[in-house]
Amino acid sequence: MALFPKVGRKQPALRLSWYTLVIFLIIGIVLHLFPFAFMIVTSLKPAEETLRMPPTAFPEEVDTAAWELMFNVVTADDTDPRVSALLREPYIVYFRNSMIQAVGSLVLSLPITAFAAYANSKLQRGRGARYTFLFFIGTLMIPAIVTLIPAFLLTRNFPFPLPQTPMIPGTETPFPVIRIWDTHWAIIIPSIFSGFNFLLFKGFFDTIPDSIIQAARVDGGSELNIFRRIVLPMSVPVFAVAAWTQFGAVWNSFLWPLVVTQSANSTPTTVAVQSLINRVLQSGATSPEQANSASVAMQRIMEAGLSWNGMMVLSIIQTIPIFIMFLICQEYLLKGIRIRGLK
Amino acid sequence: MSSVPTAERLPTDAPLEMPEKQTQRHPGRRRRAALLFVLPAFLLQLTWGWYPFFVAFLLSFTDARVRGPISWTGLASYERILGDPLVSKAFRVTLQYATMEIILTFTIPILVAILLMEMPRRAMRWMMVLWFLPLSPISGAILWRYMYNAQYGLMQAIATGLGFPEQQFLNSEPQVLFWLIFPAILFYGPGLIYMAALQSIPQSYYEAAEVEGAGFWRKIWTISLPRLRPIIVLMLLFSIIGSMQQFDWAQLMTGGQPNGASRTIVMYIYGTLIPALRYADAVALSVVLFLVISTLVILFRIFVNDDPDT
Amino acid sequence: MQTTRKYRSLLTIIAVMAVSVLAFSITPVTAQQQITIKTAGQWPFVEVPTEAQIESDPFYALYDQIVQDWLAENPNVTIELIDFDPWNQQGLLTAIAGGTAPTAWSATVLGGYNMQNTRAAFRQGLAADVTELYAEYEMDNLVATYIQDYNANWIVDERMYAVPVNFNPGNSIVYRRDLVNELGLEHPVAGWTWDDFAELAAALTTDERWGAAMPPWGMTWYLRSYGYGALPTAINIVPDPSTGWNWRYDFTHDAEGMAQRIGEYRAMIFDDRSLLTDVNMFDQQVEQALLDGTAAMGQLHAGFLRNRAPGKFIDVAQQNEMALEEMWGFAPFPVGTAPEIQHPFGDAVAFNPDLSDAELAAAFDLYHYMWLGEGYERLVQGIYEQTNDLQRIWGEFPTLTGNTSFEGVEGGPADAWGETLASEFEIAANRPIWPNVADFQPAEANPAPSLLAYNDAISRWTNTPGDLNLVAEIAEMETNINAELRVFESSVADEDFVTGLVNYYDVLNTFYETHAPDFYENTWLPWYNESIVPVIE
Repeated sequence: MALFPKVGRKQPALRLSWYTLVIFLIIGIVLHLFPFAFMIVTSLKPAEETLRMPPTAFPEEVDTAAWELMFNVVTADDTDPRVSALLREPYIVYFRNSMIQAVGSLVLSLPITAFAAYANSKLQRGRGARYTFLFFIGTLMIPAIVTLIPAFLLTRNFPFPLPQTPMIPGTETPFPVIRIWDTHWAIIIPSIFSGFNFLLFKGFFDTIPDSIIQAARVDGGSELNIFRRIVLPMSVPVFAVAAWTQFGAVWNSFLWPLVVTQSANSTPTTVAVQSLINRVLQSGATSPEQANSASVAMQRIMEAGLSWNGMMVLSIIQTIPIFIMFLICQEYLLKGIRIRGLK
Repeated sequence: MSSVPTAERLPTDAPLEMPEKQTQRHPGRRRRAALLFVLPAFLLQLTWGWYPFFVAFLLSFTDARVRGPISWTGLASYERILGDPLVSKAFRVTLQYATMEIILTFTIPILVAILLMEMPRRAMRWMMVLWFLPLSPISGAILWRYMYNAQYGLMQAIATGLGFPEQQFLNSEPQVLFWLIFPAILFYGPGLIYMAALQSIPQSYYEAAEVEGAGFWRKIWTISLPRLRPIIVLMLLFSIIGSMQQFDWAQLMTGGQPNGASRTIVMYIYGTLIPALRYADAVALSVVLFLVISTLVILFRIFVNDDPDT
Repeated sequence: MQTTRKYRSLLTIIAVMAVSVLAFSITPVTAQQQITIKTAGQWPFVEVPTEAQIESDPFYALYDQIVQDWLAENPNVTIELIDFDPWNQQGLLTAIAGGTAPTAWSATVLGGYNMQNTRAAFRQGLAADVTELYAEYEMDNLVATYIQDYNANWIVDERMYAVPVNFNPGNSIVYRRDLVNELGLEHPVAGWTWDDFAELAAALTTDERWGAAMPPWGMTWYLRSYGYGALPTAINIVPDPSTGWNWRYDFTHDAEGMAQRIGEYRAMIFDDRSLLTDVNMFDQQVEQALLDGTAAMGQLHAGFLRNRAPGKFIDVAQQNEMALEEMWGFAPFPVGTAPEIQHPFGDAVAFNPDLSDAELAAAFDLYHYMWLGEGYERLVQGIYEQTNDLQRIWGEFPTLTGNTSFEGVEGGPADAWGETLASEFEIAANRPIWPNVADFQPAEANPAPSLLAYNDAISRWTNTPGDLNLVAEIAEMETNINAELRVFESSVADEDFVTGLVNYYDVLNTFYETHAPDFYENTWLPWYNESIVPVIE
């Protein structure tokens, strides 16, 4: 509460403007909650009601079939044939994989990205800093599809972007290669450095006055200690935001895990769950030739008992971990406020 | 900030190295620290960021295909891409989209973040959670496709209810970009990031301003916004990069139609070149897009200063 | 020393990373004696039911037993289940590039469900060549003639790259038979025209209901019905060996005629308001509009009518206490002057090009067993014994083998779907397949243009109300599409191109003469003599 004056809060004019503010924010919140309400309402509709146009505001009769399905999916209840029609392994297996990958990536990504951003913001100067900056964010400007195949080949035969391991010239022995394909590392390692979080951290570290760092240097702190003892405590909020984006990015990624994982030991939930949703959407067809096979394929899933209410439930399941992560991170965001309050 | 850790400077360590105080007088020391800080990220970015792109870049000079032998074709892919009228159309759409998206969606999250900070602590927590609740793009697309349905959608009901004639929404060639961006005006902004940054502004700055008689808007203008400046600048940079690569939302919502009015460059790559197995062309177009965005970024960095103290 | 200590945590992170990467990288390379069939466990290749499914669903128990019996006969083969989405084109292409793709997949996914792209994928070797196996199994004796006609799609340069797994009577008009009866209107019959369609749509339109629903590309079909369009079967594209791409578009020679047809289609949308269409009006939305009564007819393929899921056509008819065929009809597609443009289609399974001969042979044998051979028959008979449900037996009709009866199954397609509907399916399935210019030319090795400019214009004309200067817009579209063609270079030599053309136009002329003599006389021949003959001579 920094913008409103500390004194004179009881003045009618001030009060009025404060309440205007509150109303504005609440209207925004109501609008924002609409999609979520809609998702939940749809998930409670019976299958045929879900596609009715215009969509009904409330379910005409509440149908919890989709949620029962979700419950069975999450508890891997294999007496429900629909569960096995949708997923090959118990959901918990995919969930565990996703968790390992997202948390693994998070733990490695935050320090490595933050160190690089800190160095770029506070330790480097002039041209070097500018080139390093472009080096780190340059790949953000490349559509991911273009590097999909070379990067995928690297997971097979690092450091060679080739489908087969090449032979050492003049011998019959293949080069020693590192293969991370179909392991958790295939998801974790390429995701560790995040250009977006680099930007985020750098933007944040740039707001820390140089004078604070300078003062610490004069007091004789090593750069690592300055980072640990001074910058880190000030940066709890930005770490919280970065953790949230990193977790979400790994958790939601689809195309990359689809090609670099195949066994039940490494496949994340997106490949198992989202591929169903993707197929049903059948979006973006622009010509008659495109539609036929896609629509035959889509029909097969619908026949297996997956309808829009079920898809809503699946999207909700997919969102819950992100949502929890979001709640945790916003706790730390608020902690940042308390820390500042102590200053 | 005098509480610099002293525990780390144990006397047993000290004699073996130069005194710490000399660090600032030795830029070499700082440079070495910078190198070590940057190294892990550097290696990862090199192997998983630039190396695959470099390989792809080389392939843009070949008739690269998914499988089987390839041969050099020189600039053939670039000639095809640059002569293709659909590419220039897609570039036009992309630039329009990016400009409109940044103008319409960039400021609201900043304002909301500043205003949310005014709420009492407990209310702030809930409001923040509710404002910035995440939603997966697929669920959003399903929802907004309903909302925009020109015959029965909720938006149509609102429009006709307010006395407007029947609207076309996504079916309208001149309006389609606006309606694609419209949901992002209120939703899905990076407000959390601004809230994180706002917290680092010392309370004392505001108190000092108040003493000088600054009001509500003046405080925002002279303290909040300038202190947020580095974050805003970088978020703007990110918006430029991101909106120039706009893809999945428009793909899910319109597939690029009507009349290609919502088909961006990346959609052309994903939706036309890759399905047609024109891999080399896809890479060539990506390289062109990369150069365009890089130029924008460099211009931006030249003209926009992100130092909060200027 | 102090430096080491200072940066210890950093170095630790790096070391931990390096060690763990190495630890995970040691993958033993074992010699493959055994043949492994890798499947994503989804149609169109062999499905792998889970234990729970086998226990709870007698169908899966049967399916599994049949697969197990095949495995018992082929002891050197094992089936490995992988987590893979075989319907994602980018994922599939990437997996093929790195050699991690499953053993088989739906052929059209290779080209993003686009036939021209799929054939380009075959040309690039993204599917195994099955020509010899097809001959060895004497497939031509096994599959019905209509399948053999359609198989041309899977043949590039006389090599075959995929084998059929289903056959669908194709897109047509699903309509509310009960409503047409109730209102005393005339039912659509073979040979009904777009004028009849417009009339019926207008008659079925009320304040709450659209007469018809069409996908975003409905206008493409309308124009094709009158001989306009971007394909070489239309009177808008001229072969021109002097150019790089060998073809050139000419829409302006009859822009008025084309504009008139576009205007007619637009009148249904914007004036009569009897035709519901939209940039997102895909099959599923058309289906839904029909199911909830928002539209009284709509373009769909036969598979939708036969979907047994709750809330779909069979179920809705049941809720209204009607037989499926009493409530819903499967009308022929309306015609213009040209022959009927819709035709049956099917999907096919393509095999991984990296398979060894033995692996390919095993996979092919499994396909043959499950789709045409002993396994297929046992499955049909087993389902019948379990359920007595004829609709399940004839869910895919016409069948791959052309069967209209099975041993041990009492009742044919007519008993499952009703006389009328079954004959409507049959009529649809017997529609002629149009000659495809690609079948007469050597395969194209170079990238091909997209026709997107044409599709864009169609979407503009379909969705933009008001007065449009269509003649001028047609000219503009022609300029755009020709500008795109100019940057492409065909790999086909000019002589081969012309030789192919002569054969192609022979077949096309006969096709038109047989199926639409009036169109042939009045529209096609004048165009052919004026624009095509000078080129091929």
